Amino acid sequence: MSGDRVIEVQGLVKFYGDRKVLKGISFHVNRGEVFGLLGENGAGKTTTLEIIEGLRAASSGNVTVLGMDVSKDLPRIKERIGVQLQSSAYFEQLTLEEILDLFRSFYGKGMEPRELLRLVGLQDRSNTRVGQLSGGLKQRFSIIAALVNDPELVFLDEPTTGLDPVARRNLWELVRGIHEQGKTVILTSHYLEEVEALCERVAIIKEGEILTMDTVANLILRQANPIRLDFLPRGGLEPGLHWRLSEMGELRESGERAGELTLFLRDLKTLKAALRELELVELERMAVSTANLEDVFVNLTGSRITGEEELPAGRAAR
Amino acid sequence: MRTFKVFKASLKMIFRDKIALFWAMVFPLMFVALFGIFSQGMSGNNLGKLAWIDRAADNTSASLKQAVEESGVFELTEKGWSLEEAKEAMRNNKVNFVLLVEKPEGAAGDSVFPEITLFTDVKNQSVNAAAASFFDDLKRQFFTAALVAQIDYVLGLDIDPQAKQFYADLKKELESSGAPVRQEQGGKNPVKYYDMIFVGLVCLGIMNYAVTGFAIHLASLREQKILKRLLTTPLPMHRFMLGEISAYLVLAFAQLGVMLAVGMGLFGARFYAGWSGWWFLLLLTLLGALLFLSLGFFLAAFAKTVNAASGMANGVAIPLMFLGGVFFPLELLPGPFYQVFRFLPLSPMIQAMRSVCLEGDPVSSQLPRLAIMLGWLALTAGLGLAFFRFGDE
Repeated sequence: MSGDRVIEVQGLVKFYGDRKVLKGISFHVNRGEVFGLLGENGAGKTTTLEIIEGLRAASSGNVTVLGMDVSKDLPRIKERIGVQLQSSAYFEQLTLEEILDLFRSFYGKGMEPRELLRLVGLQDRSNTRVGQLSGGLKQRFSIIAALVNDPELVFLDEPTTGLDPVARRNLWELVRGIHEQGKTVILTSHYLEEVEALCERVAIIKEGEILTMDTVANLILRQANPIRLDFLPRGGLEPGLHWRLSEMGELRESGERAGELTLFLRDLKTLKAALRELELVELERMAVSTANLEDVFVNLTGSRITGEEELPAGRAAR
Repeated sequence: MRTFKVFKASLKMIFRDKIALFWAMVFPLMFVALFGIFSQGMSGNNLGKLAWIDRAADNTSASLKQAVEESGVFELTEKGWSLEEAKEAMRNNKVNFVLLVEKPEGAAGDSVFPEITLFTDVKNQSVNAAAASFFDDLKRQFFTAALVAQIDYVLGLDIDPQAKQFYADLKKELESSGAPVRQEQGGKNPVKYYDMIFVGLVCLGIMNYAVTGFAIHLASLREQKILKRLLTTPLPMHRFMLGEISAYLVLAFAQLGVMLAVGMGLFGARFYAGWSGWWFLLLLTLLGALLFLSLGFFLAAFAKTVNAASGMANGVAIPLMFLGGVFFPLELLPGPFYQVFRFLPLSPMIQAMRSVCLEGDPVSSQLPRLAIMLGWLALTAGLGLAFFRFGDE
């Protein structure tokens, strides 16, 4: 293992028939970090994860997990990893405790089912069947089922897809708890705020290629215009002002409120200049912030992801 | 240990899935009960209820009635009905036949033999011919008996010795020709139709849940991505399958036990087998269940969804049920059909079970049939292993 890298992926290529879905992906995951693969549906996140987990064979490229080659040492790798698949179910006729006990028996070591259930507050429902749980609890259960062997490395594939905002945030707490235990987590998501909230490093993937990869903070700071000014002018902007603001940075419709504009600026000096330009404009609201991961995503891919659907890029307001 | 855990979990799942279990047990039991009820309704040679309309009302008709009663072929009903009322009763399924006994036109006193007319119900085609044949025979016997009585009268007279010898020979000839044909079963054991059907139903029960239940179960595990989830664990899939198959084998033996209890205990099915026959029954159950589980595994390899697995499994199980000789001996089929159908997966199991458990044939005589079953087992398991996908690739 080079340094303390638990996953190393080099030149990963995958074909489905004639379609090349992964076009030579390379990245690594460090021990103890939460690493995110962010991308739209069909970008290749799950395929990448499943190749690393040994569920799919790569067309070419190398993958090592915990210092072992996935194509040669899979049984030994499986002993030390925990996997939560995207939308997988569990045996309907078994209770939660029985399922955990069964999965626990597949490994050489592991955690007690009741201890795992306690982690997610399900200790009083050990005799319940999976089908009787709500969507959020099902997902929580599927994550603790990935922890039965007390793994060093945990794979979470779209862990919060389909959950309501409250359940999603509860699950984030669970992921943070897993991370605090010193485990490495690699997760895929198309929720930008989820990746921003949980991941230390992120790879943005589109059409089988990694567009960029870094810490969330660095990705934002690496933007040409990392300062964000949102404002909603009453009655719109006169064309001359619109042109002058556009020249200072990048002016877009915000896409969140009708009539609201977002101006991305490179530094404080241009921000002050922009604020001076807006002094004479009647504004309904205004906010200054740093750019976020969504802005990074839009700049890189030319499109936004909202929920599960791809939307057109934030259009230039000119 | 890991395989045993899977076995235990699978067993729990099978017995907790009450609806699937109900149908696994009840489907073959319905047939066992249905045929059991039919066979009890048709116990002995009883052809059904006969309404007796006696317009002759003489000694001969009384003797005739006594002969019918003693034969046990019909259940006699006498309710003082007119002919029309009796026919109406037959139309309403209260009786199966109406027999009208009349004196021949112009006859006085006891007739030699009354005129008899048998009215039959079109719905009972299968037994109508047998009933008509019974009365033909009866009439012949009565006629012969009447002739013999007349010859006896003549023989009692003082006549020429040569003529006496002629009448004595004639009497002997008549008596031998009028006697009913003796009927004896060719086999070693007094096997009833229900015994034969019951063996077929036992095999059907084992086949049905093994093929349909296992194919649907595997397709469901795959559709829900449970198999894929298992692939992420260190458990080798052959151990998982071994645990699952072991659990299904327990169910097959439970089915066998329940069917034997109901078929033999409630409906009087019989096996004519010694200890070796009973051991052979267990061996056949094991081999049959393995073969049909393997067939279910093979079908699940090509079924993308549970619905597809259900359709495919029924598409295979139903033809096997009819062509495998569950309801009739395959030997009744014309030669070329028999030569093909006897090689179907269910046929050798049924034929071997009937031979050993009903006919008392030695187990060693069934080796070719066991070989056919093993051949099917190897073929379906091989193809299943080649085509079944636990994950997406």
